[in-house]
Formats: sequence, C-alpha cells, structure tokens
Amino acid sequence: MIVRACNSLGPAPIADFRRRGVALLASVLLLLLGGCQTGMRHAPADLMRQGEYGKVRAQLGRQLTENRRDRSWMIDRMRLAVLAMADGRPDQAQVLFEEVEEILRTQGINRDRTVAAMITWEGVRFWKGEPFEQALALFYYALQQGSLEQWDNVRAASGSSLFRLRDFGYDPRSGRRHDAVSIARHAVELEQRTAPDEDGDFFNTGYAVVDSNFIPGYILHGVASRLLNRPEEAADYFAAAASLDSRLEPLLREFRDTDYNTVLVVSYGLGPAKARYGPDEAFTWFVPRTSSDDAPLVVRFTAADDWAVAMDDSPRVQQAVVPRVMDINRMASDHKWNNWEDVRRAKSALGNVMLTAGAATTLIGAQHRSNEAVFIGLGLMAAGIISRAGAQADTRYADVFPQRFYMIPLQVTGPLDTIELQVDGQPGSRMVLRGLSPPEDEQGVQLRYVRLNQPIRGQVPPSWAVSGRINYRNEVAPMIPEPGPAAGDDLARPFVIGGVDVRPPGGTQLRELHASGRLSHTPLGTFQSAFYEERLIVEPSDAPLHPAEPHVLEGGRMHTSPLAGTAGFARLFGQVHAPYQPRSGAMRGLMSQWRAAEPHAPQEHAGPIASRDDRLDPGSARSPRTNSSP
Amino acid sequence: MNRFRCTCVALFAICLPWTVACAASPEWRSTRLTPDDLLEISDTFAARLAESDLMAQRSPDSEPWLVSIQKVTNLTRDVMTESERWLIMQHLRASMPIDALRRQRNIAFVLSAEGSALLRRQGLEDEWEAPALADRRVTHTMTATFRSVIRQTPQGAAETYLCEFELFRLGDREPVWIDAVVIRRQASGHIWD
Repeated sequence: MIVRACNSLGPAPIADFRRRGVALLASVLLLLLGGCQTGMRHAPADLMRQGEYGKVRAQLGRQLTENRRDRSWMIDRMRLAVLAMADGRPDQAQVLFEEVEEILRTQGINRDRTVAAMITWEGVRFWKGEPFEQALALFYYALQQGSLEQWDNVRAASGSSLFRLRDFGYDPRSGRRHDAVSIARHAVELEQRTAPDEDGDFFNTGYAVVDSNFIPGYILHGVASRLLNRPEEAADYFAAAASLDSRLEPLLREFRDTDYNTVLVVSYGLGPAKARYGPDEAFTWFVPRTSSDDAPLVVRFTAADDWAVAMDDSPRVQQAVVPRVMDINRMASDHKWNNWEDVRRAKSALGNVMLTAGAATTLIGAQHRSNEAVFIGLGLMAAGIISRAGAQADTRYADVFPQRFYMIPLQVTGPLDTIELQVDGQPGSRMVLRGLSPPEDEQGVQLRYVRLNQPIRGQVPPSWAVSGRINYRNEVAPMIPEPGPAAGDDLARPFVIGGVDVRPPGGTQLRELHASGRLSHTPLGTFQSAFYEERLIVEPSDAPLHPAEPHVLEGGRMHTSPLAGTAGFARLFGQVHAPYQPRSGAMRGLMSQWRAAEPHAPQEHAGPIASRDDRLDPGSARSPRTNSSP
Repeated sequence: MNRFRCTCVALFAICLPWTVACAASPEWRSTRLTPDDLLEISDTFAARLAESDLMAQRSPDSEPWLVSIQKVTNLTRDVMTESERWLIMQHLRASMPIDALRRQRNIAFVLSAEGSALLRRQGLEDEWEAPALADRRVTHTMTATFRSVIRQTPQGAAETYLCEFELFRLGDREPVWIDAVVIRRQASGHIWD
C-alpha cells in the first residue's frame, strides 16, 4: 500500500508546500504528545520525615478517588492507611485496610492485560503494587489488627504477607543475580528460540517458586501463634526468621520464651523511590531515599511499677540494643520482590520501529506529493509515539513505606513508664513515649507501631518528639503536666471552649464541671449537642468513616484520641497547640456561659496548665478498642 | 476513496490497542470467604444442631440449659472484623427456632456480654432473650473456630476452610456437640498480578 501511495502524484506547487507544512506541523505535535503523561501525586517527604502525618493525611485525603478504575484508587488507600498507623489511628485505618486487602487477596486482576498496558496505563491496568509493597501493606494490616489486640487477625494478615515468590536465579553470563535488563534479554531470546506452539514466555517458565524472606511477617506470625496458644506453630515461624538472619536469634528467643505484654514495631526512614532507567526509560528500579545500614535501635525503658514508685522517683531503668529486622531498600532491589510489569511492557513495545517507519513514510509521501502516504505515515507515527509513551515505565509506588523495621518485646507497667527510642547514631530519630498503660487483660499483649522521625536539617528531633509530656487531658492516658500555675477546675474545661480537655464529651466530664460550679445549668444533651453542631467527630465508631480527618488540636474535626505509645500521640499531646475558634452558635454559647461564670477576667489557655497534684488524672479511661466496620 | 481508506488504516492503527484493552474485561478471583458463605455456614449449623441427637434427647422436662454464644475464633488467612465474627453467631441464633427450642427442649441461647455490647453499639440489639433470661445462669458455651489451608501453584490457589462449631459444658468443658463443614475455594491467576 505504501509503495502504491508513493507512486501517486499531487496537483500543484502551492498544495505541495501546504502538504509539507501540515506533515511537519503534525509530526511536531505528535512528538510533543509523546512526552505528555500523567504524573504521580507524591506524599510530601519533608513532612513525613518530621512526623507531621496529620498534615500529610489531610492532603492525601483531599485527593482520595472513589473511582475504582482509577489507578490511584489502591495506591491512595494504601498510603493513607499506612500513615494512619504512623499517626496512632488504627481506627481510622480500618476501612482502608479492608479495601486494600480485598484487592490484594484477588488473584490475576492484571492477567493478560500487558498488551493493553503497553498503550495506555491510566485506567487500564490495575495498580496492585510490587510484591514487596503488597507484603508490606498486608504486614501493616497485621499491625493495625495488633493495635486492636485482634491476634487471630494478626496471624491471618501476617500469614498473607508471606506469599511465595518467583526467583529467576542467576544470569549465566554475568554470574550475578538476574536484574530487569538480563531478565528482559532472556525473555526475548527464549521467545526467538521457541516454536510458536511452545510456551516461550520466560516469565511463566523461567523461575522457581520460593518461600518468602519477609522476616517481620514471620516474627509477627510467631507472636500471634504464641498468643493463640499454638506454641509449635510459633516455634516454626521464629525458626524460619532465624534461618533468614542469624543475628536475630537472641531477639527471637525473647519473643518466644519470655513474658511481655507489649510488642513495639518501630520503623525509621523513607523507603526507596521508584525511578526509570534504560532505553526509552522503559525499566524501573528502586533508589534509596534513606541509606541502608546495620545501625541498631537503642531502647531505654524506665518502668514505674506503680503510682507510688513513680512518686518516689525510684524507677527501674533498662537499656537494650535491638538489631534491625528488615531493610526495605534491599528487599525492593531483589528481583524476587518485583512484578516485572516494566520488563513485560518494554519487551512488548514496538514504539521505535513504528515511529521510524511512520516518519519515513510521511517524508516520502510529502516529497512525492502523495496525500495518502502522508496520512498513512502520520497514522503510523501516532501509533508509534503512543506505544513509545506506553513503553515508558510507570513509576507510581507507595511512597510512604519506611526504610527499615525493628521489633521489641516490652513489659510495660503503667502510663508513667518512659520509653525512649533512637536509631544508633541518628540523634534526630530520638523519641520519648509516655502514657502507655498495660493491656486491660492481665494475660493480654498489646501492639504499638512507632514511626521514628528523620529530620532533614541537622540531627535535632522535633521538640514534641522528646518532650515526654502529655499536655492535654484525653481519654487514653493521664495528663503529665509540666510545673506551672495551678489551674484547678480548668482541667475539665473542653479545648474547644478554651481549655485543655479533649476527651469526647460525656457525663463524667460534665459532672466534674458541675462539681466545680461550671456550666451548672447545662444538661448533658445540650453539652453534647454543642459538639455535634460544631460537626466534631466524637464517637469512636465513626472514626473509620473519616480516614483522613485530622485531630481537633491540629485544626480538624476528630475529637477522639490516637493510641498512646505512638508517634501520633506524642506529636498531638507533646506540644502546645493554638487555641480553638468555635464556629457554631451552640459552641460559642457554651463558651459565653463559661466566661460569664468566671469570677475574674477570662484568661485563655496558652499552654499546659496544671498543678503537680493533678498529674494522676483519675478521669482518664484506657485505650478505646474497636474493630468495627460501619 | 483512497484517502478515506488510508485514514481508516491510520485510525485502526491508533485504535487497535484500545480495542484489545476493552476486550480484556477484568475477571477478579479470590479464595476469600464471602459474606454469603458466612451466612450459609450459619444456616447449615443451625439446621444441623436443631436436627442433632443432642436435641432429640432433650424434652421440656430436661435440665434447663442456657448457652452463651462466643465469637468466631479465626485461624484462617482471611482477616475477619469483630462485627463479622459476631454476626455469624448472631445469624446462627436467628436461624434457629428459638421459641420452639425453649418450650420443647428447655434450652436457650444468648450472645455473650461482649457480643451483645458490640452489636448494641452498632444498633443491632440482642432484644429477644435478655429480659426473660436475666435471672438464669449460663450452663454451656458455644464456640466456633474457622481454619484454612492453602495450596498455591503458579496458576492459582486452592484454599480449604474447616469451620467447626462446638457446644460444651461450662464446668468440666466437656463437649456435648461438635460438628464441622468444609468449604473449598479456588482462584486462578498469580496472587501478585
């Protein structure tokens, strides 16, 4: 057809000039089109390094798509769920994890869609993440269930994270483990050597199925099995972890044999970033954002046996040095943990061939005054450029995962215990946790996930991370005020009307206020309805419906507290926040009532206020434990 | 005419890949138990218990039994929410002829305090038995344990679930009734794909 078109003649010189101009202009436009692709909306790394997960979550929440065919649907939920955990909010992560697990447990979503993916990746191929991202997401689901003390679900989710992997082994030419380029080369060579009726797909035949080497999954499964009274199963999982890294044997013995009531899972740094490389940037690899090293975690634990011991200032101090259990940089660079989407697409893409043929045809058509040849050439070029654009690898990834994990068993004695954590040699990562009570069930074990900071400039941790204070009265941990002027009855004054109390509004709180002569004419219904009219979220069971909503101390509507013993709890209560400005008439009315009852000029709260007598807060309840779906 | 034909060829070259994309409609598969599976399991056990020898041996004059129903213990690979685990048991109770069992077999079933509280928080009150049984002591407990084993191959996975229900005396924890059902689920395709 091309030859026949080249032989046809055009009519006039002016038309010939116009034809050449159109061909040139169209070619330039098409080339520009090839450079246009939708970029990924990254979570702000600076804020994550500083532990400002509330701000990042609010930002991600605004972008959250409800369109399941959108490639961002899954990635956004995975990111938001991981950050909710970093913020100490397993309740807000509940529905997100349910949605993520539903997709991850579904097999073959992207099967046979490679050809389609070659052309357009937006909305065609469903993003499930690389296998290592999938394992991490399921591991985080296990952490979320552990935070709610649902250990049978911890066993289920951590077990799911240990799916088997494809190992393509070693490249016979270099003797090194296969990488993306060598696997692609092998795939093409095998395809060329194979008869049409044989299975020549290297991706389906060239690997061995091997067991996972995801150590945190084995350890958490072991802990869960032990707590479910399955000691032999627990021993198997701890042994599997030990076989993967013998340095962990002392730590694994502690998990297996000693008594503990708290498991801390600690993470640090930012996981690797996905970047393009190679011809047409068709391949991807993961580039470290936080460098790998073997620095251990230093844990300094000051136990307060009971209130009396704490008041006598006679704490017990223990220090431990804990080895890293997983390096995500190394995990991501191991081909076993990649899905080879980029290699499959690179192998399929014919962009350069089509582009070259199209350009030649267009040029020949224009020179021979052939409109038909020009149109054919432009068509081929368009197809080629779109194909080439498709060959460029997709670099979307879950950019919120950490670089490493540590795991520690602890025996917590009371909320006045102090837990200090720091990655050895990284003073900016230091974090001081207080307010963590032992589990309600004396035989129970609780789990807390703590994400350490990695400040960019200098090695100074944020002040809230090391303050060790609890400046606001809340429902999960007693207030630990700094010495200051006595505040008396102001301790029950709600934050939203100028006080320091951020407990959900209830009868206990109102009784305290009534006892001190405050809001004495306000019944409970009126008190609570002021919070509802202010559109504050005060019911724990509503939290899963608002996965990205920030806490009221940070300008949001969430009026329930994060779990004590987490980075989110330390950030929220370890610093002083700006006073709240009521929006609704009902809340402003409550504030007016308070001011009217004051014997002297109103004084707005500007910082932590309490006397030392108030440090043992009898009004604080324990952690809310909900695992309910709406 | 030639120009039209050539334009069609060019358009086809551009549109072909999208045609392929549309043809490859998504077909999702999972070995996970569905909500319908869970309800079916409840129905099955309710029917089996009602028809069991244990029930046949009891009469209105038998020693009264009050059975406290516990939530499902989950030893599968599926994460089951607290609500799901209680709803299975509540559905089991709802599927049984509660009134007939009380009158003819002198046996009553209640959700444990933990389950009642959770369902109440979600607006699903346990409204049938509580007032009438307030003065009676629990004599038996009903538990359920779900287990699963999975076999994965490069082509897919097959998961077998064993769902076991047990009724035992509180004092000596002697089981008085045990039954189990097996459910198999298959899924094709790679788990990572």
